[in-house]
Amino acid sequence: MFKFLLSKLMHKKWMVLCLLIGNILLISIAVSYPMYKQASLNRMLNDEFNNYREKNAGNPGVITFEYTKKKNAGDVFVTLDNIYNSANDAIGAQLVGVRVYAQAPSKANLVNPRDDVGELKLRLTNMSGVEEQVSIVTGQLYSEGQDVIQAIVSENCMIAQNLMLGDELAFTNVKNAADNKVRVVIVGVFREMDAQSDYWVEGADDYADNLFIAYSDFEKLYLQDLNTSAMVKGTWYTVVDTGKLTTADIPAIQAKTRDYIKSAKDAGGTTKEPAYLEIFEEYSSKANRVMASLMILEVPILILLCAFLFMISGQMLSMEQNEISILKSRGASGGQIFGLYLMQSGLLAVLSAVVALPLGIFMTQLLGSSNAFLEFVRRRALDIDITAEVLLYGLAAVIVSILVTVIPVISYSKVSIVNLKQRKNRAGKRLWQKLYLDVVILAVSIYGYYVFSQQKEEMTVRVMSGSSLDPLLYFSSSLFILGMGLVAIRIWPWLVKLVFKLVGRAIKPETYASFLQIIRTGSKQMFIMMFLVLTVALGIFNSTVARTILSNATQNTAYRLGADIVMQEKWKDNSAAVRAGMATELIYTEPDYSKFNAIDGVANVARVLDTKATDGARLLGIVTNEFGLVAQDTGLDDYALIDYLNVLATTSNAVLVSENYRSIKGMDIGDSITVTVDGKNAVCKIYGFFNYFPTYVAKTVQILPDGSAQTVDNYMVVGNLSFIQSKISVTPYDLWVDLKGDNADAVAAFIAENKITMAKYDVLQNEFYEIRNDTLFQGTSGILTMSFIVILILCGVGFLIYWVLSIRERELLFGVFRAMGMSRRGIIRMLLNEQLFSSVLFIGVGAGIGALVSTLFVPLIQIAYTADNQVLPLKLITQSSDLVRLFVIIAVMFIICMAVLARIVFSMKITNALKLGED
Amino acid sequence: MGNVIETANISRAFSVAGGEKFYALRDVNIAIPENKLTILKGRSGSGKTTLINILGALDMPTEGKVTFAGQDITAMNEQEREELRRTQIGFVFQSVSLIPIMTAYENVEFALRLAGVKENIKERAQESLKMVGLAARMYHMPQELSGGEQQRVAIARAIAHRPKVVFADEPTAELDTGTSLQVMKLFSELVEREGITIIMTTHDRGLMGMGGMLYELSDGQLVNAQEKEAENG
Repeated sequence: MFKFLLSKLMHKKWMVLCLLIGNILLISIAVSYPMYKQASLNRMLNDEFNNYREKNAGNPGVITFEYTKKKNAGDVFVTLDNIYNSANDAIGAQLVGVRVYAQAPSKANLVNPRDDVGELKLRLTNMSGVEEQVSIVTGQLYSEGQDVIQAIVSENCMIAQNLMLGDELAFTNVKNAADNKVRVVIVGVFREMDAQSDYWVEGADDYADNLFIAYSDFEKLYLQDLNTSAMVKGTWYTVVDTGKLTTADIPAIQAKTRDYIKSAKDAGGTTKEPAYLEIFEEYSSKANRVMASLMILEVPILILLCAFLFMISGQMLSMEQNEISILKSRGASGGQIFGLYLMQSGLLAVLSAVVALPLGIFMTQLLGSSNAFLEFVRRRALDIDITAEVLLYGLAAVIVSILVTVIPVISYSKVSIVNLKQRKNRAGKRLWQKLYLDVVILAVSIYGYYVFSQQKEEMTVRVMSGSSLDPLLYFSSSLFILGMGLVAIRIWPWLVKLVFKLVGRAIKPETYASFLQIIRTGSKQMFIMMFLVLTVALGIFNSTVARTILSNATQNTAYRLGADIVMQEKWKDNSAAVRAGMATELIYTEPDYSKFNAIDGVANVARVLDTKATDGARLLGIVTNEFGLVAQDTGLDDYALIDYLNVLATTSNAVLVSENYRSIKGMDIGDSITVTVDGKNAVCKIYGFFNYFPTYVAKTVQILPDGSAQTVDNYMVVGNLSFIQSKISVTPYDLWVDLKGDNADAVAAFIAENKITMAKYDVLQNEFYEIRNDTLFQGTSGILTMSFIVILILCGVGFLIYWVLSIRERELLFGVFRAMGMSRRGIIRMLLNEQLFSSVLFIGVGAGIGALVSTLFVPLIQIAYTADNQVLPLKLITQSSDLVRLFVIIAVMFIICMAVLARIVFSMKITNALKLGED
Repeated sequence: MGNVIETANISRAFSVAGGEKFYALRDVNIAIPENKLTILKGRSGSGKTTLINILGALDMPTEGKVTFAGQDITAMNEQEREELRRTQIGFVFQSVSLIPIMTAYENVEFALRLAGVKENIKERAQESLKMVGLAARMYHMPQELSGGEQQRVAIARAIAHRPKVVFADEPTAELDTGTSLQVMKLFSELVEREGITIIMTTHDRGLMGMGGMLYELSDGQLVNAQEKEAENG
């Protein structure tokens, strides 16, 4: 049986190749999802940790216990120490422990006094394992058990306390067992061996009053008898190496950390949660949202791949139906035939899986390096693991592939040669047509669209509060494509008949034959039509979604920032004098902003005062001619930005205000408005209303602590900077920088070179970079790109194989036509006409449906991406180069297909073709 | 009465593996009389199908010359032969060769369209179908007709454009004896009543008695030629 199967497969090598391609793509896409998920989530988690380090200059992995032993309560010390010592077992992650015992600050004096050193307050300290973690700058490490206790100190301590190496100190109130004053000599100065090490939760310089001594010395003084009244503070740091944490560790680490902290708290210690617990929380909600969105994006392409496999396997079966019915007639049972095909599907699926796994890894890397739609950049590679989840997805894909390819066999395996002939050429109405499934599907999807567009605002709120978009939304868009495609297929025969009626019967015989062919056997071609509609429509939809989402996000970001760079130099002021009571008013010294104008690479700089008025409105003070050169016009208002600025420039106290001053507060042009900042009033006159002004956001949605949402109206007043400064005061303003190109390096270099301290420095390109690197955006462009490429492959392969094979089936008929005297050109003309009214027409239908589904659904889908950032109205972006790519591929396939057909027709020997019919 | 087709020493060689040549026909000289039924007989592989394909301008001899109504068809180009097939020749094939997407009527009409007939298409198609006795079933699709009926439609299609010669390659091979006899009778009637020239191949001995001219082929060579009067009934 296996041998028979192999020879059968060799015989149909092109079909087998198609099935292999489909299988390989299906399985590799299926496995790439968990691979990407796992790798990108780890990357995302890592980024969260890095962000935390950058923003908080601290280690997110630190768990802190503290306890200050006062009188007698020594037991707590022991318990906490025991808990701390069990950290490795309790948490089970890679970790470092540091225990610091420090005496309360105690008075001490130099034994040999110096003029510049008075009475000091110092702490004897022991830090576990410090001996291995320091490098001695001068002197040496302490040795324990000396009469005069040896100590080492940090460099900062030397400076802060004005100490010198070899200084001997005597504590006033600290006595040893012999009741003598404890004396300490400084034998060394240290710094961290590795300042980046997790060991140094507090840097060496933070220990500015600590004399580090050996444990045995510390123990003799304070720990041998825990019931003394001496005050000793214990600090236990348990540092989890967050760099080594992966997403898989999260649940366990979370629970164990909480237990660990709880036991310390129960023992009476003061505890501080590590930052990673909070990071985990934030990360988990974000990860769920991102992954649900990405999963939804992958579903249509998986369905399309299944459809492809179904189509090819159906085609292969219909070619083999003679063989099947002969097998049947010779006594093979339906079960045996089914078994044969099951073996075939299984063999192909397993063979594909072998190739698909490495291909899946490659695809995952591709996903990770995607920058925008059909755009890749070099980025650090993802760490991809073949986890159990990956294998599970692979197995599921294999099973689905087997099912999809074997299902068509069921109906074929029941047919013997007798009823086969009866079945041939019978093309009645399909079940879906009788049940009006197409209309039902379309109605459901339109209803879905309607419901979702009614809930647009609720969806925005849901996404902002961390949940993902409803998968049904994406499902509706896919249903819409399917429903529209089926309706088109239902209408199609009527259309062809109409054209046939219109052109009349006085047409060339070959054209006449081609019309009859379409009208009478059209239903056989439904599947390829549907396939074309799906591929073209999905291709356009994917491209539009990807392009629109990214361009929307970047445009909104650009609008909200205002310029290529928005920065503010730190202004000098008299705050010291104000604090000292020497001045009553805070006065700033305005730095010279024109120095930035001189930087090569800077086109223009505008001064923009951005402040809040007492009533909560935003006040923007601008210099109109500068602003006009820097700001971008959205083109969305009734007047051009330049017109607004010209109006503003006419009068010094003129202001432009946001539209809600008119619509909500009932103000009008010419009204005067008083803007109050820090108790000072500027009386202005309204010269115009705007809906959009760079950086202005009319409404923001706030999520209240109880989870409900609130829409807040934002007011903004734009006035002349000089007027506002004269009426209020000269306060620090922003500088909006328009760069000649995109690169802000020259500005950064200038700032560093001149040691200018910046209070604010936001670069638009950096924000773009963040968007492109965001897992959601990156995954979206990656998956849509991958889907698009798969669509191109499927479209090409599917189209080619389907047509070439269905043409081969008709070779006998061509022989008859040729014998009757039809020329080869005539036959090709006939096929071209057929293609025109089937494939070409449906490629057009697919394009139309793609455009329609994009228009309807993209505005809803983008909510998942820019919910909290959406200010500008959404603009659908369909990049024509994507369409060109799609249609070039289709055209190439079409041409190849026609060339193959022409070759078949021209090389066909009529006499041989006719023999095909002799069975 | 003259001959509508004459051949002069035609041979048809096929290249086979190893560079050798296989002769399906060798030095055949044959004359087809006008308005007669000519039967080419011989066992399977005797070369009769090759011969009929060459006579019908579907295939070309590798050597020799074929004259069709005074024209040398071996000297014609592809277009001229297509034109000849469309207008002066009708074919009936062994297997059912109707166009499955067309009704019986449309199949006949299609041959008329191909032959470039512009006038009275409808009448002529119906007339042909009436001639083969299928006027009543002309709007049926081929798969709704029996094997014999389908073959009669094929004959109607072959004669509709009034060709000079109708070629029939084993037209009864897939039919039962009774139906075969009916088809043969139809041929005889067409020859007698309509004056059509028909050339057919067969290996069925029972049908050979009906011909006007009988040629027998064996191993690509003509071994027997005899003329006889058709027996009635």
